[in-house]
Amino acid sequence: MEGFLFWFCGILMFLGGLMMVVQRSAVVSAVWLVFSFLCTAGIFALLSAPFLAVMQVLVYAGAIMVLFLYVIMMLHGPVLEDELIPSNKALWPLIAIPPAAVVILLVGWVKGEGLRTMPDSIAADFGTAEHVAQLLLGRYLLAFELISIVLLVAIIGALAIGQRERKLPWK
Amino acid sequence: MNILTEMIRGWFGPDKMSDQMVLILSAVTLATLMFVVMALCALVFTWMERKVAGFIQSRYGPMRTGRWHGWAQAVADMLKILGKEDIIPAEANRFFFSFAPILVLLGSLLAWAAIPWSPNFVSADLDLGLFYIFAVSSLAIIGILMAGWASNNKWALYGAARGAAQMVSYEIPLALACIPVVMYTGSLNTSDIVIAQQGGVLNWFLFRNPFIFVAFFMYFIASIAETNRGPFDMPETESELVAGYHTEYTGMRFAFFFLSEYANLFLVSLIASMVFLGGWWSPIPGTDFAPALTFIIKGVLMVLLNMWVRWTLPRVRVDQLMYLCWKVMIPVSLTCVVGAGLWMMWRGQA
Amino acid sequence: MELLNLNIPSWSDLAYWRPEAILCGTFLAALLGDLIGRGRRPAISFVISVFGLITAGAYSVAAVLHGGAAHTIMGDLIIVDGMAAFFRLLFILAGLATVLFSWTAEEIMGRKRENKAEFFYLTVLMTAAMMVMAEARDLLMLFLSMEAVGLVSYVMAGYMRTSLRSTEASLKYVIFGAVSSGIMLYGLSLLYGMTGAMTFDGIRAGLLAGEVNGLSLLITVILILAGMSYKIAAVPFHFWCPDVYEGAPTPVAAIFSVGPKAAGFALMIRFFYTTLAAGADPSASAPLIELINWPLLMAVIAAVTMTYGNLVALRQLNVKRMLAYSSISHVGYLLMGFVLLTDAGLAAILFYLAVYTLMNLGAFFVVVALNNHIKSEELDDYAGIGFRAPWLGTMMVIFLASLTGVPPFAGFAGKFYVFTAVMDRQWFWLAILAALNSVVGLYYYFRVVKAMFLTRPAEGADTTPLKIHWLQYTVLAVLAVPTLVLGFWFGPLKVLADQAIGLLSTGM
Repeated sequence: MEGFLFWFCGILMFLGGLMMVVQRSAVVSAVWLVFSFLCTAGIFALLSAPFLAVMQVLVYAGAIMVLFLYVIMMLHGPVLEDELIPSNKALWPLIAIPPAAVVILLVGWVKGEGLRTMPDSIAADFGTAEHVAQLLLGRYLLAFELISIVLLVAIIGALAIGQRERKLPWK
Repeated sequence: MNILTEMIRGWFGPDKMSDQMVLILSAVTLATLMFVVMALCALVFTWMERKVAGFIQSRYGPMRTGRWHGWAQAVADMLKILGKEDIIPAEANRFFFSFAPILVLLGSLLAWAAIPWSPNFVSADLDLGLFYIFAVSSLAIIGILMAGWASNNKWALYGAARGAAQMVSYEIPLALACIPVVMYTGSLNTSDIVIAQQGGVLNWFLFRNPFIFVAFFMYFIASIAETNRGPFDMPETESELVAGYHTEYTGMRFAFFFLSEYANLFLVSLIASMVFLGGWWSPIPGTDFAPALTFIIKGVLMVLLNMWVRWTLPRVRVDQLMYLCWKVMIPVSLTCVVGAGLWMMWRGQA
Repeated sequence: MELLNLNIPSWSDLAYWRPEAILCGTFLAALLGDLIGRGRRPAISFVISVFGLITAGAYSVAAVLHGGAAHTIMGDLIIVDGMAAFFRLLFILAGLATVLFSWTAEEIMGRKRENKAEFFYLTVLMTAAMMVMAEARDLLMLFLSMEAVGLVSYVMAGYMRTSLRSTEASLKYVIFGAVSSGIMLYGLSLLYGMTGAMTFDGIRAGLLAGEVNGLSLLITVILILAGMSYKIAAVPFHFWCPDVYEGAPTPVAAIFSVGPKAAGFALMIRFFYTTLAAGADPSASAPLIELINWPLLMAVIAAVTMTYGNLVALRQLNVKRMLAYSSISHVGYLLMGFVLLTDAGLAAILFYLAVYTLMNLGAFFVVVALNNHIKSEELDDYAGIGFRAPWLGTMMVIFLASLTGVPPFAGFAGKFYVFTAVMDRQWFWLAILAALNSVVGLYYYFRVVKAMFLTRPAEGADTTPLKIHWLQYTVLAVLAVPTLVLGFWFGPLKVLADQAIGLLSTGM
């Protein structure tokens, strides 16, 4: 059952990613990305990481991709799309070669070395909210704080370059 | 869940089926059950809404269909909706247009799975139950965006854009308001949260900590915005956007949106009752005769409160809505989290 | 209390991290100061930033004087060792010089600007993030610090938001940065998957255990190398560099050309030297070394980078763009020290980076000072400017001569060390190529000098002397004097660099 679910989610995730790349409509691409994220969440759940799985859905599929879709949909409607992006079929093989090479080499590695399997037993609290919290606010506290600073900078930066020229009341 | 699997095992004989089959069967049964309950809710709540609206506006509301206070009006409406022609606009994106209502409904249906109806009946007893509910209900936002965009209609797109912005924003105070409670229980499991409130009305989280008392109101306001109901019903403002993101929908597809709206309304009310109002515990200790009924009654009372607010307050503006969320509710909710933690430490409840 | 029992390895280690903590505090204080001044009083943020940088610098100097062993912080996320101390000083110098110089730079403080103060505290934060880059010993910190530097850079590149070029620069930077971050992150995740560890030590142990397939490790390392090459603008990943430098405000280009590059080098040195090459002990090196001729690969990248940078710089008529290509060629020189991963080579990189920071910042700042008056960076507009601002011209000559690498300027000492490190291991072709490149450099650097002093300005052009702000003169003098002095008295800096690298190899 678990094996079946793994391949099910894994293959769908891959397909979702592939469809996202080859779609010409940005909206459809984004929806495929959401689909791929949901399958990723499934894989996390199978790996005994329920917290990550829920966060993947809540943050990526539920919030970040909503913002992406929001922006894309605001920028253009469904009919226009096909005319916007010219297609150049000649470029396809060129674009496909590097990822394909990486995939082939990685498959070769997996075949040669065998997959690293999951340990037979994992700690009872592995992947739970408590465990993740202990790591985030304990061992990786510095990284956690660094992330908060990165996000703060992103906000300040977005305001600094994004804000409209406005008449300030004191000017 | 356990009762159900045992029952299924019993019907088919102990060794006839593999565990997986039992699991799948019980899941299908539960999903069907939840769907039926949802449909019933929608029926009851439409009638209730019209009656409440009537009373608030000094009129009767539906009175004729089915004789007693127009009780059959909702059923008649439902039959009418099901009989309508299914129209997909010519320039719409057909796939997204038909898929969006399903996604929206799926979001509410999935979230219902983690509701603890009674001590021994939770469809999915998940460790991360509360987060799970927030996570899957956020999927509905994508459905709404899809619906608005695929309709290829300006009103629908505006409605969807407003809906997405509103729901993404209000998810933050909604979840933050629940955090103090999680700090008390140390668990996100929905049953654990209810169990921690045993022992009468004073042990409900609402009255345990002044900051949670404030957080409850943050939750309530945010939940109104999450369900896109007045005074925050910007996504479907009749006066400016016809019907918002479901302008182009008819028949069954419209019914899905309608259904999910009331399902979400009941869902947020049930979460309020579960997180703040003691879930299935009755207010007086030792009188827990009908846990599931107690839980549902609390939920329905919250729904009534919601309707009262909807029909009393005028609609706010979009910018006021965003101001309220980002500049008032999120800071207040954050203060509640910190304050509740300090209160816990001060009172030695940690 | 149970509530606070969080398994934090040790709080007391944080004492070694004072400069970074001070800079983060400065960032927040300056942000609040800007808020209190309601955006009208950039001076508040400026003063707070300068004081914060000076305090952090004082603590860093104290740490260097104190000497001592390496300290890991919070488990193994961060290490403060000799190399970290060296780079701290370098970054604080660059950050402080940039903040001080920008105070009088039109492009940042121009009359019409609303958001003046952001520049100062963003620079402070960039300094802190670069310091973390040089100290990271964990893939998580490595990536996060790179992203922090990257995000600040994107904002600063687009700082003149009414200027089309600046916006274009920012957009290009974001897109290139996002792609290269993605590539590198993929490599990092593969590395984690292969070794099951995030700390550099853990990765090394995993690699030495020999369970890793050489071919997949090769892909991984190339992906990571690609991300880092972007940060330092080595040749196949240099495309963003000239456009971003030209479009961004000049003070921003100045700090871009030294700060993130030096941080990228620090990261590369720490990552490749301590993780993959396993330090000075060749017997303990990972199986990676055998699979491909890494020295040759690095040598080719170095050679192509310096040659490309120099040849394209020859044709540039815009001084900023010329300096951008020149900075690419300097990356080539720096990469020469990286070829063999020897102690001497790495110490030479550190020495060269210190010198390069001084002279390149100086050259860019002269461009800023001139831009305040002539509003242009075109070579033609520089005609005769040396006589309108003789001191500024003289200092430009010093910086450019040093960038060329002619004795007795500091650039010569830097190049000298890099060249000897390479020749020490019989890489003569690389050394000869680098020497030829320096000759090419002479041509385009001195074209600027020629324009400033030997070309007659057009008829009727303005020939009044330029009034340069005293703060600008001070900063330029602080940069120019060491550029001169280090040309013949480079012992102390060399000792510092040697110590930094020596500690790196022993303190693992």
